[in-house]
Amino acid sequence: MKSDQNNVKMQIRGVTKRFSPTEGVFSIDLDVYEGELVTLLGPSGCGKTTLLRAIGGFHQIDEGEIRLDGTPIQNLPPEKRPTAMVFQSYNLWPHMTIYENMAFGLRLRKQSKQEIAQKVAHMLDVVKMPGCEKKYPAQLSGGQQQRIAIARALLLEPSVLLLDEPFSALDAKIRGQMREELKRIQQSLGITIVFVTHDQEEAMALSDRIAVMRQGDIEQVGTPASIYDNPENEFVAGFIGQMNLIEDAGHKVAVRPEDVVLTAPSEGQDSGEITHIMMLGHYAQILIRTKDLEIRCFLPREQATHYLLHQQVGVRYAKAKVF
Amino acid sequence: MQEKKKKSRTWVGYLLVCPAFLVMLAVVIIPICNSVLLSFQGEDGGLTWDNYLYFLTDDASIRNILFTLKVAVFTIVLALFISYALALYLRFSTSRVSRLVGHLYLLPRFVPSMVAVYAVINIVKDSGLINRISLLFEQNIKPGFLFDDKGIILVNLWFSIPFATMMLLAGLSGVSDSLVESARDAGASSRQIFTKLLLPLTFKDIMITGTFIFMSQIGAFTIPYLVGPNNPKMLGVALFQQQSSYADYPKAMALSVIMFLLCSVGAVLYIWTSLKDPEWAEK
Repeated sequence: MKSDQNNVKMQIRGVTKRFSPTEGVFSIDLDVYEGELVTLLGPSGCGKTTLLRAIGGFHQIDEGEIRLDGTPIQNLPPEKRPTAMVFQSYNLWPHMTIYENMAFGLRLRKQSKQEIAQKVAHMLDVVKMPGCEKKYPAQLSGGQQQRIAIARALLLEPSVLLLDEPFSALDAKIRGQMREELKRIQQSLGITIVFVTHDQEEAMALSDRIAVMRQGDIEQVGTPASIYDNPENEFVAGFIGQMNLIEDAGHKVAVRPEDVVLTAPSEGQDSGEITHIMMLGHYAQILIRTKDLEIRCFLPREQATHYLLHQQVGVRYAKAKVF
Repeated sequence: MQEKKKKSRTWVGYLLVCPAFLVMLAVVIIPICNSVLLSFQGEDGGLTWDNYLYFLTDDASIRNILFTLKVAVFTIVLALFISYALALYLRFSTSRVSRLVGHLYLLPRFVPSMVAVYAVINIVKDSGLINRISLLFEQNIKPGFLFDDKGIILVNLWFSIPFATMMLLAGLSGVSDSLVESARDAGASSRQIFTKLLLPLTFKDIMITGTFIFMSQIGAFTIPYLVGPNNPKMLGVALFQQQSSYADYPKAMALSVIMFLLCSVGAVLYIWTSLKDPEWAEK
């Protein structure tokens, strides 16, 4: 399901949570649309988890309003909010079987045994883990546990699903699989998700929109493509993807490595010596040492074979952004 | 040839263990065997069950055993109850008071037991601090704790609560915040989090703490000797009298064996709970 730009699912207005004058989140505004996956992205300490926990009810906010489906929820405790959270660490309850873990919330809601059994079986199918009802969490791998944690949260039928760096403890390969899996589940169920990560690659891969955060503020909100192509400031430019930041007459010029074109030494905007050539799969990274800085350049693999270490080359910037 | 070498090597092993084994034999094994043998010695010097039968049939002795078990059970239940509440507070409250209590709760353990016992006696005895304060208000409150099981239990709590709180707090600290938070997220109330999450996850710690308190009560001497009644008395005091006042060594040995057997019930329970991981903890 495509996200519906006209239908605001969650509205965050002026939300402030202060831990100290410099720690916390300050006056955050954000709209999340129906069926959308929004990522809160930023370095550690930027307030992304604080904001997510404020939405989930685990932090009482100091100021502002959070409306979910039109209703203010900022004063409700977590157990009364129509949100469900998946945490960073594997946090299935270790003394309960997978079935008991998944049925826990439904039992608290006094649903019938038959109904619970049906829903659990269905949800295990959704996360592609049928038949593990009788196992205990310790008998599953990290990736499997996180699938169950997501399934357990989904069974609560939340208005918004909150995920706090859910894949950061998994190894790279499983992490990739889990991203695809989450995207598939989100699209098939049409649920709204707020996802926290510090991994820009993960944010790019998953998100309908990304909110880049720094020091308790949102710096920029937009689709992955718009943030990549049109970063509004130097921080966003530097944080999303690789970026060459070049001083030029008091301005900062930002150039993506793939927009650096290698030319003959006399033809470019600048020139220098190749100090490093590294094959990175289908493309290569070349570092060029100019007078005062090191320029990073990405080239398709076959083109890179034309260059040698210590060769003198010119560089031209096909596309640049000035701050 | 090789066979010979192997044999001599085995002997080196035995030789190395020998000194330690001889020390053990002299100071532990032989005295225990002697004591057990002595516990079966009758007045005529022959072997008999009489010493054991005395403790298991004599009214006063049975009362002593029951009295000891009663004090142990009350101490365990009260200490666990109070300590669990305190540990919950220390684990989940982030207030200044809880941090302060977190630093102070072990202090009673550092007061020498004699000092602590006399401090409690001076407060609760019928002419003690409580009585004197009540006199100021023209009342005459006599707590009646001294030379009574209530007194023993009260002083026991002084020592058991810090210990039990430490054990239970360690157990509760092993339950991560996110486990509790996800239970709240699923809609659980505080009471449901307690019964469905915290209690089952710390059951082992509760059992082990209870066992430790139990064993300390079976052999307790100082506190019941100073605070407890003369009749019935706790087993530690009874043993002291058999040995020092009556100098009836065979009976003292028999009582020691009985106390050892009572303790080993606790030991078995301890080994059983600490060795046997629940099914869910097995990989």
